[in-house]
Amino acid sequence: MRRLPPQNTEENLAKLIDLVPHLADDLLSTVDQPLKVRRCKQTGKDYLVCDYNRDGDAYRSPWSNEYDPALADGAQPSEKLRLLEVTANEAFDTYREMYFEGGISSVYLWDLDDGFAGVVLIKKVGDGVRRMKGAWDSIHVFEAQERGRMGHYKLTSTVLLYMITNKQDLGNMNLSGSMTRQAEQEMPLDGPSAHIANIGRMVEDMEMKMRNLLQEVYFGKTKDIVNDLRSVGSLRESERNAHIQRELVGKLMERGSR
Amino acid sequence: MQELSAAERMKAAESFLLQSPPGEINDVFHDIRTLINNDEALQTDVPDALLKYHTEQLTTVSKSNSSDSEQVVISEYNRVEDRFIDPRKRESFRFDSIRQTVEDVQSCEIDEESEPLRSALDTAVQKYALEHYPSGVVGVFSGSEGALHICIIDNKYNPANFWNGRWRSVWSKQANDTTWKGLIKVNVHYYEDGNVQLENEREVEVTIDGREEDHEAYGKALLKQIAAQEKTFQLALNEAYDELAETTFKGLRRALPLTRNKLDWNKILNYRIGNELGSRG
Repeated sequence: MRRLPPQNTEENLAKLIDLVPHLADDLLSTVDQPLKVRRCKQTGKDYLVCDYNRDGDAYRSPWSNEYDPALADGAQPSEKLRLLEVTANEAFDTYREMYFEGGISSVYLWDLDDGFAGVVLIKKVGDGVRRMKGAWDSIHVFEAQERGRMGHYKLTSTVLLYMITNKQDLGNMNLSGSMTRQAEQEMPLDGPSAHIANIGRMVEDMEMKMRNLLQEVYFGKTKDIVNDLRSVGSLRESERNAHIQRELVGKLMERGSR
Repeated sequence: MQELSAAERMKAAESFLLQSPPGEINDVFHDIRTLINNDEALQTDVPDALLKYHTEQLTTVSKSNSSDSEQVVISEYNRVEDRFIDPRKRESFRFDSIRQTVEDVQSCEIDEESEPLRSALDTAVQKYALEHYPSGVVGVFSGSEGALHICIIDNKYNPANFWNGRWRSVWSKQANDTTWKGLIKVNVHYYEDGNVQLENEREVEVTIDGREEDHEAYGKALLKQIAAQEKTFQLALNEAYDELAETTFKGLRRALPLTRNKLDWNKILNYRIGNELGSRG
């Protein structure tokens, strides 16, 4: 899956699961797919679905804590963790508004034996002006542990970025994919919502780094590779110029050594 | 879940093979073999699936064992049953689609009627490729019923730095037609810490008024137009890159909030708690 075109991730994943059904659960939890949007029946607010808020065929809304379709015994975070989850969803809603100026975000938390884990999801679809479509999906999966008065955090972040455009002279262009980075950090626990602030800072730093990385790879590296495959200018001419330059430098050196 | 039939499994495997990024067919093939081990159908059908991949992707191979010898193109246009024609050398050969090697090279007869024009175009395309394609490989083939096909391929593989790229241009014309139909495809795969791919397809046409009988002049006129079209496309692609970066990408996520500062997380959280207290009171 890490080699096949990200343009066809969903289709390929479905085929792969058909091919090796016994690996279905592993595949669903390791292959990042574009995030899907659902509307919460209780609050009317949109939320994002992924493998982490799924139980069977139902998905849990972070706003109402209810499953859709309704589940009597769906997996739930503990009461204490659910309070943290509510706070996290509101905080990341603000974060999303400040950086993405639109889009949807959802945070899901679950209990671990020694701490808790969670995922921060953000999706923004571009406005598609001038026939240029774009979509950004952030998937930040983290683990949090308390060690005395310190919180220890492990973060794995994936950003899926889709860019599609078409024009007369260009034809159809599709520049898409995902990048993944990890980070580990220890931060003080100095208040009731310290975990959220700590994870917030980590996610913010990570997204900043990844935005730079994506910019470099998408619009720098892959563009350079295209221009390595074909040269707009004449290769012979640039070779001739390089040759002339070498000769000139040689002559200057000769003069200098006299 | 119902088990897939052997034919369905092979169909899925073939679709994965055909999607392999430039220069990575062996890696994808290896992964698939691990997934579907002990599958007899896979063993027998795989050569055909790979052959389809290589003809679609215009794989280039060397006919002799030395690495610096001239490369030839594997395509539908020079395929005759289970052999491929190299009209430049008047040879035909068998292609092992798994090992990607050439076997059983033999001299062969070619269509003498179309050969003078084909050969003149071949020379003109090679000259053009030298000007613009650093690792370009060219094939010019006479098809059935007087059709002509031009293939230009440039591959750059750099797995040590986790990227591979492929440029394919195919220009085709039917007999007694003045229009050449071109299809330019560019694929780039970048896979350090991720999987990013560029897929670009551009259909284009050029019309040549000159007489085919004057082979050299015709070739010159055709290549002048092909060069102009390919340049226009490449400039449009570079421009699209810049435009996507400047508008679409920036519109998705800001580098910093409007305040030009990172978020004050304590303030966000306190604000929320304050709100809650307010609404309670």
